[in-house]
Parts: sequence; structure tokens; C-alpha cells
Amino acid sequence: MAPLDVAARRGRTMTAAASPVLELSGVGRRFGGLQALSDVSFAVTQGEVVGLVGPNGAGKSTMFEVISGNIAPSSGSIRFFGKDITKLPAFARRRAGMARTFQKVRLFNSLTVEQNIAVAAMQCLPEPGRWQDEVQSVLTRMRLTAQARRRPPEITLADRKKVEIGRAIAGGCTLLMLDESLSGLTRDEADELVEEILGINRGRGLTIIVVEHVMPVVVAMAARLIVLKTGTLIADGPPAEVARDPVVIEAYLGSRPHGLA
Amino acid sequence: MELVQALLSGVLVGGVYGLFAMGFSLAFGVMRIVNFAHGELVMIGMYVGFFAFSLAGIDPLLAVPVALVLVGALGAGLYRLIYRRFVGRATLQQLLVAIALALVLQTLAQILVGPDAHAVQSGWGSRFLLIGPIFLPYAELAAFAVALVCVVGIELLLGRWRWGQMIRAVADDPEIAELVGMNAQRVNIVAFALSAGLAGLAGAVLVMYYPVSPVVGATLMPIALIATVLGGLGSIGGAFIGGILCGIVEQVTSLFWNAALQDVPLYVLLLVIMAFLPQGLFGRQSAH
Amino acid sequence: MLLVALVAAVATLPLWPFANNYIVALAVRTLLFIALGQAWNVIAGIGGMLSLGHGLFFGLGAYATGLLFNSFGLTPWLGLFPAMAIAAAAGLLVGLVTGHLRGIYFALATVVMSLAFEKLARYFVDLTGGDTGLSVTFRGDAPWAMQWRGPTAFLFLSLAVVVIYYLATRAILRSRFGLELQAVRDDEGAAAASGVNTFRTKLLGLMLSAAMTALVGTLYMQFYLNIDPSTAFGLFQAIQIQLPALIGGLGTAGGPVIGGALMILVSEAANIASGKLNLQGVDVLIYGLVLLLVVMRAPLGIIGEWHRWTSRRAGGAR
Repeated sequence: MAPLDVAARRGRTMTAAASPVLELSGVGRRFGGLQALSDVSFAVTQGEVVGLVGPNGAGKSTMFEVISGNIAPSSGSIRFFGKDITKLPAFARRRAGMARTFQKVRLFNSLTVEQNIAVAAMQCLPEPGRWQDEVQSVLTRMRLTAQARRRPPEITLADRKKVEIGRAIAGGCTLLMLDESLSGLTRDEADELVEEILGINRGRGLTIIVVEHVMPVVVAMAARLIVLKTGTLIADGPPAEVARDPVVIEAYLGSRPHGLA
Repeated sequence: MELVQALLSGVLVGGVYGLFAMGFSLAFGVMRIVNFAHGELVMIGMYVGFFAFSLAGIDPLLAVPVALVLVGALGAGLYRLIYRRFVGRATLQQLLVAIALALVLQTLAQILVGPDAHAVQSGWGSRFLLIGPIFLPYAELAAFAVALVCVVGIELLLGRWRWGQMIRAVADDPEIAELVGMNAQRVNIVAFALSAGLAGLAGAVLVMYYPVSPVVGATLMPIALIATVLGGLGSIGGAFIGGILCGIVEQVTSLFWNAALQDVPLYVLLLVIMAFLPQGLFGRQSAH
Repeated sequence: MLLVALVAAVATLPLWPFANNYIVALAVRTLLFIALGQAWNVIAGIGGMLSLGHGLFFGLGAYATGLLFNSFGLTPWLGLFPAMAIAAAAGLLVGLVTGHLRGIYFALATVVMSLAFEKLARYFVDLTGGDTGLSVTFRGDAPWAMQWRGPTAFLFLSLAVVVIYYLATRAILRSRFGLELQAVRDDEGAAAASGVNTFRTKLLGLMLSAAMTALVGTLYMQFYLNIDPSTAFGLFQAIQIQLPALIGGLGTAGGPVIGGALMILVSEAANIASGKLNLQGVDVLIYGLVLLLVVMRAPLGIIGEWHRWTSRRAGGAR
């Protein structure tokens, strides 16, 4: 992987004293005998781009499911703009502005690209005129206007990923969680999509959490990394700092995390 | 005493329901096939037992292995011809094709042997074991014994037999089974033949005390469905226990409430189970 | 255009040279069959919930209308409203109990509810008439009681229902509610992640579909003047209701219309053939075999296969 122009492309870090967008305190989740997450706490402020990394089985997916409301935490609480949402169902979190993509793209295959985005837009903007405008603006933003009338099985994987992100940001989303949105793409496609995502980050002031296996990509996007290992948060800070952290190096089998600067 | 009688009768009748349900559950567990024609395979097994006796004078109990083999072979044929195309396909088409097949088999039977019900007059139906005030028909005892042998046999077969292990592997994950070199299609044929054979066997046992007609399969199918879902779709032992549970609930209901409504508490029980334990009493969490 | 021509053709059927009461009654039977398929299609085709228990809603509609008329003299013109409301309430209950189940589990749970009603209807003889069923008192030509001697009035009534249901299906497919239903059908998890209240959407779909089914039950009751437990709640009915949409094309507006008409045609042809062969049961056998063949050869239904065929041709030409 050729190094990307890291400094220029990274998302903004808003360190100003804004109240946190997302705040996890002491979140744990147990599946039978397996402690998938234990006592995880962190906060994300508006406009941040945070990378969630860790070896396989570290609990990244469980973390996403817990934040987006598909899995209830066994302990701890989650706050969104200061409001406790621990008990809120997934659809209500989406309407409140928290959106996600899936590790394996999940679109509505019998609906057109336009309708896929409309389904999400109309949940947050019930007035017909407003959501219709929003759909058009998202289509333009994601450069999907040419594909608007086609169905997901008829378009390329890169476009499907764009539709999924478009569906996620439609209707005033404030926190976007991307689950390996770049995997399976060619280098050029991934670069283009990163550009797109960071554009949304800057343009809409969107807060973003990314889970990604390819480390250079995370580093290119995120100004802050949160490292999980066997369900525990082991490091939290700027990529360069995290890469020097002995605990993190240990977690990645004693070697320097591949691609970390 | 009446309650003891009801419980014992329930267990005996339920054993055969369980036998009925076991084959149905096997087809679902391995191939995700909901074989609505399973009842018709039972019906064919019943006719095998009936004709073995009425044409050749063979005791129905001796016709049981014949029914197992014949209906099992028929099952293999039906799998090759029809079901094969629907493994892994949408539930709806698969359901419908089984229903259409059930309709065809039922009408064929009606055309070939007529719509009337026949009972086997072998003497099995008129002998009882009397223990004090409790009476147990020998036919039901024999049927239950066969059912018990079958459930133990099948569990052993799936556990020890080479094909049995392959069947379980394919049930767990057909793709991985293929990757390690199994021919999933061949394993499926064996599993489906086994499922159909169990249906035939259940029929031959049932005909010892229950009259056969072309619609008998459809009449009994709801109970088999309930037994299977209670036990957990795909679980063999669960289906057997589900069957016994159905038998007991039926008998106890007719004792305390009304024989015409003996199935109603079963429906309620099933809905409660489905609402709180969608996987049934013994079903494993589905991997898919 | 085609739609208008079709409607006109059916509406003027009684005036055609070969028309007789048998043919008009057959047309009514076809239209009722189609309407049932259209109602089921709303939740099963558009919403993806494979209900095998729609006989429940059909039966409730028929029994409720009949009972209200017999006991309270309530005309079916008004009785159809409580009938639809009862069915919608039943749909709500069914949904609350089984709405979390998927695919085959939902199908099995719903069919079990319908079968339980069959047993109950057989048992409570005083209310339902038991095995022989409930009969509506025949008043001759009595439009106020939705009764006529000939089938012609029913032809117009059932045609109106089919046309309304067809237009309604088209409207639903394009509406916000329809998009949500389709999103739930395609991927429930992704729908929830897009902000769709999936449970509520499924409940509403089920209630709407149940009410639509009950209205057909009302018409059925008035046309045949009798309903029995197995016609209403039985397994065969549960399966029959699915055929129009399945054969014609699931989740499409035209599917149930094409599929329903085709299956009645097949059944009539089989009936005639069986009369010629003088063999009882051959008609059902042919019906079953055709069904088997269609499902094996055209699993997407007629409209679905047509789309696949045309898009493949378009793809080849490019």
C-alpha cells in the first residue's frame, strides 16, 4: 500500500468543548460465557473521524451492533447528544440521526437506488417535498444520479457501497458508522470513496466512526484511533501515538501494526 | 385412575405421532425442506401395510420393514425428480411444490384405490393388555415399541454411521461439507430417503389400529407439524418428545374437557412456545 | 388502456352471445379467487410475510357478515364494515403473537391459528352451524340484503372489488408505506437501520391485508349463502389463497389477476377433461400436476419470468 497523503486527507478533529455526540460509559456485553465487551467507555465529539480497530474477535462488530441498537448491552449506558438511548430501538436511533453501513452490503434489492435512499430519507423528513429533495441531493452528492433508476443487483460493488452510504446519510444523519465500507474495492475505488466520505464529513459536519481492516485506510481517514482487544479498550488517541503504544504492539502479536505510521 | 389411563394412552399414541414427526423434522434439519407431502408418504406406508395383509396375509408388523424400504425408495426417486431443485431456494416455492405433490399423491390414491377408509382386520385391533382398570391395546403397544426402536436407532445412526455423520455435516453447513469433499447432493438423497422411509414405517405401524384412506395423511399432518415445531424444527429426538407431548395433551383434554376439542390446547401450547421459544423445546439456534 | 378493455369485456359478459348463468357464475368465482389473492399479496407479496393463515380472515369475514344478518338483520352492506374491523383486529393479534417470526416459522404459526379456528367453528354448533356450516336466509331478489337470484349483480360487485384492489396495490407499491413494506421484505435489519419501524409496518400490512380478505369473505357469503369450517379455515383454503399471486407473480399488481384467472381456467379444463374420461378425481390430479409444473418451471411466477426473459433479451442485445 502506497502511503496516502495523510495530513491533507484526514478528517477534522474538533477538540473544542462541544458536548459529545456519542458517549459510552462502562458498556459490557456477555453472550453466555463469552464476554464480548467489558467496561468500554469513550466519547466522540462532533465532526470527529474515529477509527475503531483491533484484531479479529476484538469486539468491533459487537460494538457497532450495541451502538446502533441491534444488541442490547448487558451493562453500562449509551448517550447520544447527552440523551440516554440505551433502551431505544434501532429504528428510533436512526431517526435520531445515528446511521450505519453493514460489513456485507445490505440493500433493498427489489427497490431502485433512488427508492433505497428514499426509504431512509422519508423516516427523518416526513413531508413529501422535503424527503424528495433530500433524495436528489444525496444522489448528486454520491454521484449516483445516473444509477438512480437501476436496482442494486444491476450496479457495481463500488456503487452499491455508495448507495449504502447514501442511504445512511439521507435525512439529516449526524453520526455515521462505517463497517468496512472499503473492503472488496479496488485501490482507485477505495480512494474515491474515502474522498467522498471525508467530503461529507467536512460538508455536513458529520461525525464518523469507521471499522476497517486495512490499516492505511483507517489512518488516512481517522484523526483518532480506538483500539479494542478481546472486548476491552486498550488504547485511544492519535494514530501516531497509538502506534507507539507497547500494549497495542503486543496486541498485534508483537509486531508493529501493519501500515501504522 | 382415569388420569393414568389418559396419560398412558397419550404416550402410546404420541409415540406414533413422534415417529411421524421425526421423518418430517429430518428433512427440514438437513435440507431445510418443509415437506408438506410427508403425510402422503405416511398414507402410502399405510396402504403398503394394508395390502400386505389383505392380499398376502402378511401380519402388519412384518410389513413394517417392507414399507420402510419401499417408501424410502419412493422418497429417493421424488428427491431426484423434484425436491433436488428446491434445496436452498425460497421457502415459498419449496412449500408450494410439496403441497402440489401432496395433492397429486392424494388424488392418485383416490383414483387407484377409491376414497373409502379401510381397516386392517388382523386381530391386532381387538386384543388388549389389562392391568387392573387400565387397558392398553396391543397394537398401540407394538407401535410404540417400534417408534422407540426407531428414535434410538436414528440417533445412533446419525451419531455413529459414516453416512449419518455426513448427513449431520451437510445439515450444519452444506458449503463446508462440499469443501471437505462430500457430495452434498448424494448425502441429501440418503437423508431424504431416510426421512421418507420413516414416513412409510410410521404408516405401516399406524395401520395396525388406524383405518387408512387417501386423506389420512392430510388429516394427521397438523399434529405432526405441531409435534415437530414443539420439539424444534430439525431435531429428531425433539420431534419424538413433541409427539408424545401432543398425545398426552390430546388424551388429557378429551378426559377433562371435550374429545372434539382435543387439539385446541395443542394449538395454544404451540403459539405460546413459538412466541417465547421460536426454536422449539429442543431446537438448536439456527446457523443460517 | 388494456385495463379498461379488460374491465369492459368482463362487465359486459352477460350480454355476450354464449353467456349463460353458469359462465357468469364462473366469472364471479374467478373474480373472488383473484380478489383473495390480491388481499394476500399485500402482506405476503409486498411485505414478504408468508401467511398460511389467511383463511382465518376470510372465514371471519364470511361468518361475521352472516351472523350479523341472521341474528340482528344487519344488511351486509353495513355488516361488511364490522366484518373487516374484526378481521383487522384478528390480524393485529396474529401479528402481535407471531410478528417476530420469520419465513417458515411465521407460515406454520399462522396456519396453526387458522386450523384452531376450524376446530372451534366445528364445535360451537349453536353459533356457527357446526360441520354443515352457517347459512344466510335467502330473500330472493333483495338488493338491500346484497342478494339476487342471478349471478349478474355479483359479477359487477366482485369486478369492482378486483379493480379497486388492483389500483390499491399499484398505489401501495409506490407509496411510502409500500416502500417500507418492501424494504422490510428485502432486508428487515437494513430497514430498521434505515429508520423503518419494522414491527409496526408489518402489523399495519397484516391488518390491511386481513381487512381486504374479510371483504371477499362477505361477498363469498352473499354469493354462496353458506360457509362451512373447512371452506373458511381449512388447510386447502390456506393454500388456495396463495395461488393467484404465486402463479401470476408475487408482489406485483397484475400477478394475482393473471394467476387467478389462469388457475380457474386450468381447473375448469381439468373438470371438463375428467367428465370426458369419466374418472372422478382426475380434475384435481391435473390441477395438482399443472401447479407442480408451474412452480418447478416458472418459480418467479408469470410476471417475474416475463421480466427475467425480457431483461435477458435486452442484456443479450447490448
